[in-house]
Amino acid sequence: MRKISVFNHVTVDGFFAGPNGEIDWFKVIKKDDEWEKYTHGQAKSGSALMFGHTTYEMMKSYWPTPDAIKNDPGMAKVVNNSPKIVFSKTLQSVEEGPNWKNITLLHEIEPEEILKLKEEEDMTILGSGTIVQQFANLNLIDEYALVVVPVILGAGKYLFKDVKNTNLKLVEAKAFKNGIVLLNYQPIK
Amino acid sequence: MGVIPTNGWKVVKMRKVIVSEFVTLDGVMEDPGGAEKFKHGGWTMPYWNEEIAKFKFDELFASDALLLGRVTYQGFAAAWPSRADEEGFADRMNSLPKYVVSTTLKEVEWNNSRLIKGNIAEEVSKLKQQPGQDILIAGSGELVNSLMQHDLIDEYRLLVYPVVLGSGKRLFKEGTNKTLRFVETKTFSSGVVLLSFQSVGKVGEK
Repeated sequence: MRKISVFNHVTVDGFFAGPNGEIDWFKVIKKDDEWEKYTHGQAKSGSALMFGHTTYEMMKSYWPTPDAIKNDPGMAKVVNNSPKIVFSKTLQSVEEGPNWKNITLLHEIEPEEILKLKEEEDMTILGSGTIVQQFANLNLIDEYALVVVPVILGAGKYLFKDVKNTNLKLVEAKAFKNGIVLLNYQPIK
Repeated sequence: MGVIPTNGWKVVKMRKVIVSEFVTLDGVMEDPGGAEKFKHGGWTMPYWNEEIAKFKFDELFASDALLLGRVTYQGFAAAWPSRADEEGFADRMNSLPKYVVSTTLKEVEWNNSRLIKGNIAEEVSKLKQQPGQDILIAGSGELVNSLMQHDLIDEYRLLVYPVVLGSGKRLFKEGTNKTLRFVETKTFSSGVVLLSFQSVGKVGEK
């Protein structure tokens, strides 16, 4: 059975991004071999990536650039070539480029359509709080992978904003030497 | 011998203020036990087990004072005096000194309680300088946030419950920005995860 996952960094106070989408607090994450191995392993698992408009634009402005390809060639290759689904009511079209391929634009989240796509591949939502929240409230999420970053941010966008009351099953909690903790949960549907 | 007195390290060691909380995955701390009539109240109950009881027991016995805000104090004061257990948890709750921070309470009746009415930062700093074990805060969301602003919290222990409530009072109010140092995590078999952190400073500070 294929699955739909959420992969997100969260602060100790529950934000996945600052008030304007800032992720500068990621900088407290220190380099750690085991952590890098884990994230690269995840990235190689061949999932389709899903985004909302904001996260999509951020990804697009970074990963296809020569800088990104130089700094993190493995991850850049995965992000640039993986199937990407963008949810946006306002975007009219999505442009592909030589390093930025395989993009589908959807204007609505149609559960039936999503479940059909899921039959073909695993799907992972990155960032994109509003998409996570809508998917969660439609019972479409099979797994959360939350990376707890040891920061209290004080302001920002809550990952679980307006998500309905849900019980979850803890699958794994793992601390890395750099002080981040990965929490893995499956919603009990 | 002689340069450092044998009890030298004890003299300089400050008591720690430890915040120990039940929180949901969406950061809510309201009414974990269900006595406060919150619509989702009692959300910790299905996950309670021996391991969590042991954790709370060890923590309580490593502390020799409780620091509480009004709401949590009133909840505790209504519940604990009539309780008893073989392990002595209730006895310790009832006998430990309790410092209650409130501007509205006129008096405190639970055994060994005293009221802190103003100058919270100063009063708590004084407590930290007294000799003793840890000073434990449970619940007390308002108090936690005001102590955070004064950098008076040394350690956060969050027991994260595998539940999203979707509403309720959050532990951390907006407005305080801090980098923490991760201490440890511990997984309980019912799906609760301990995340513990120490204070270090503001984001961007070294």
